[in-house]
Amino acid sequence: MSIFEVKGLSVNFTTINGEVKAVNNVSFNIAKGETVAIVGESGSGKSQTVLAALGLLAENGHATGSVKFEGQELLGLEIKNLNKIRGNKISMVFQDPMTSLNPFLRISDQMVEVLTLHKGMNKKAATAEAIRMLDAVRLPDASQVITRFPHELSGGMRQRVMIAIALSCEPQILIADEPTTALDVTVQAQMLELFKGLTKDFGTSLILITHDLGVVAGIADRMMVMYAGKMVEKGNVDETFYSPKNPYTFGLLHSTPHIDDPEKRLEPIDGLPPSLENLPSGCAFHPRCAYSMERCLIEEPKLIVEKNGRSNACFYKGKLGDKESSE
Amino acid sequence: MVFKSKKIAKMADNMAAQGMGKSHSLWSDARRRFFKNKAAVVSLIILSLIIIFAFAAPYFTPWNNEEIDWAILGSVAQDGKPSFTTKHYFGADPLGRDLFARVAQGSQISLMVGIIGAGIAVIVGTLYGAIAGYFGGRLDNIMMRLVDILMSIPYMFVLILLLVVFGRSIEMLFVGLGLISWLDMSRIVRGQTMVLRNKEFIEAAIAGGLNRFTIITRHIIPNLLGIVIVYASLLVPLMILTESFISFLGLGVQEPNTSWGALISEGAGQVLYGTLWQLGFPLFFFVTALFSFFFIGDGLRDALDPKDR
Repeated sequence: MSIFEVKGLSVNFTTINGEVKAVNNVSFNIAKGETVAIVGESGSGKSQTVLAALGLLAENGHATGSVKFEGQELLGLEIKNLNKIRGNKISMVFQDPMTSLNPFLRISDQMVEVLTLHKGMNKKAATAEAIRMLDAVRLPDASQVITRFPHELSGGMRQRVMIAIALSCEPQILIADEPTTALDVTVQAQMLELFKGLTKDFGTSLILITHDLGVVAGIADRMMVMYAGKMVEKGNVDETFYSPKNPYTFGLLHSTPHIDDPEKRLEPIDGLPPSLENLPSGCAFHPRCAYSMERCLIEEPKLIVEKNGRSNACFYKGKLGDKESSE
Repeated sequence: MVFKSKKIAKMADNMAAQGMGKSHSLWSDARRRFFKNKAAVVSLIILSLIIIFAFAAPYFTPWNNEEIDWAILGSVAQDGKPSFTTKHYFGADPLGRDLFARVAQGSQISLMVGIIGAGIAVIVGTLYGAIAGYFGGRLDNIMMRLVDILMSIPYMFVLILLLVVFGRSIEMLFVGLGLISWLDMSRIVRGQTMVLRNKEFIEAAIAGGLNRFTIITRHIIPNLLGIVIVYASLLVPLMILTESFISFLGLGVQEPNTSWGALISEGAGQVLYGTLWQLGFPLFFFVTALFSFFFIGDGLRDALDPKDR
């Protein structure tokens, strides 16, 4: 069923201060047509997880474990073969649309490039296809826009172009790395609608990397929460939102403003995310956790599968939210 | 009110029409900025005139650069003055040859040296630097250390040695200039490439499955062109200067061919005999061309400066 399988993926970076574990033993599957969100604070390793899968790690990084796409192992795959997959079967939309397009090439050149490469189209057919894709991402006046240079388009238009490029080869998997972070709220909403519609139309699986829980609630089927390079909770969005099992997920949800309860004070998670070079012992979250026990200092909680496909990595089994008053 | 709202609607239509007007590339913006720079435009015109002179002048004089005017030989200082009656518009050189034809021929050689020298630098230096900068790591280390080694060799010494050992020919001069001219260029390009490599659009290109060669040629190099063009426009006068220096020493261009440097050298040797035109005309062309190149380079830098974008 699942077309994308990640098993025991770890990403290490060699730095002057020694090895840094950016991603630690992460596993997940993605089924066809599914939208999965990876959520976490900055530096939690959510981006590195997918960058590793596409061979886009920085030079000092290396990945171990297994990433399989349609049964084919991607880690350690020759660049030549990897290039047949990335951009074609798995494509990516980057965070900042302002810098993700080459400023010296017309939109048409940048779109045609991918199509001629992967689909073997000639320039004319590729241009027609590119215009069709720009229409698909609801960019008005596509035949005009395609002749423009990136600096002549707005941020939202550029992001639509990026999405059009990513979707132009009708990939099985679309990876969106914080696709709405650099956009203003109204455009964000449009983008999310667009993603929702496109994954439906094209049957594409979407991996959405974000720190914006509002985005997750809007379009994802399942969500995975990462903290300090580890997966701490996994589950379908509705259940995870309404009854988070992990104190970190709980903290995240409670530090997000809710429109229907404006009086409520936000409860930020105390402290800062730990430095990956110097992780706390046991559970990496214990210094900031209101529910930490003796055991959390010594032992690392494992991600345990619970009912309904939910998983949680925490020793605390009680109800969350009880201890709010004691802080 | 009705009248006014109609007018406003019309204005809005006009504005919308203008908004989706002609598409401007970064190049056309740069061109517009360049042509706003008066000094650069004037320099461009002067330089064009010099180039036209270099190639057209031989058709306007009965003399060629090799012919000796036997009538004035021996009394060049008196009879070889610039004049229209003898048809020596720029006078004659110490051997009684027509300076007008020789300056034109010298201009051809000097400009060719400058442009070919800079051309080699642009092609070799850009590719070399882009490859080193893009791949990084060990390859970069090896490639750039090689550049360091070549740079540490006193090039004037090597150039003179080359010309002495392999004979003084213009081909050898090109080889010698070509060997050294690309070094600085490759360093500049490499540094710039390393900055570009971390840009998101390069990452996007990699994620799009483009191979490394395509990424370098289609995505890195167009972004480098601004800097390359500016540096090349400053390299042209540098090449001309180097050639002139070599020719001044008597090692560069050989008779009957000549260049600005050779002509200046010749003229400078005769100054004491009062034949100032023999120094003045080549020097005028030399200085004017160099000034033009520098102003054009300056204009290009202002026009292509990324900070203005």
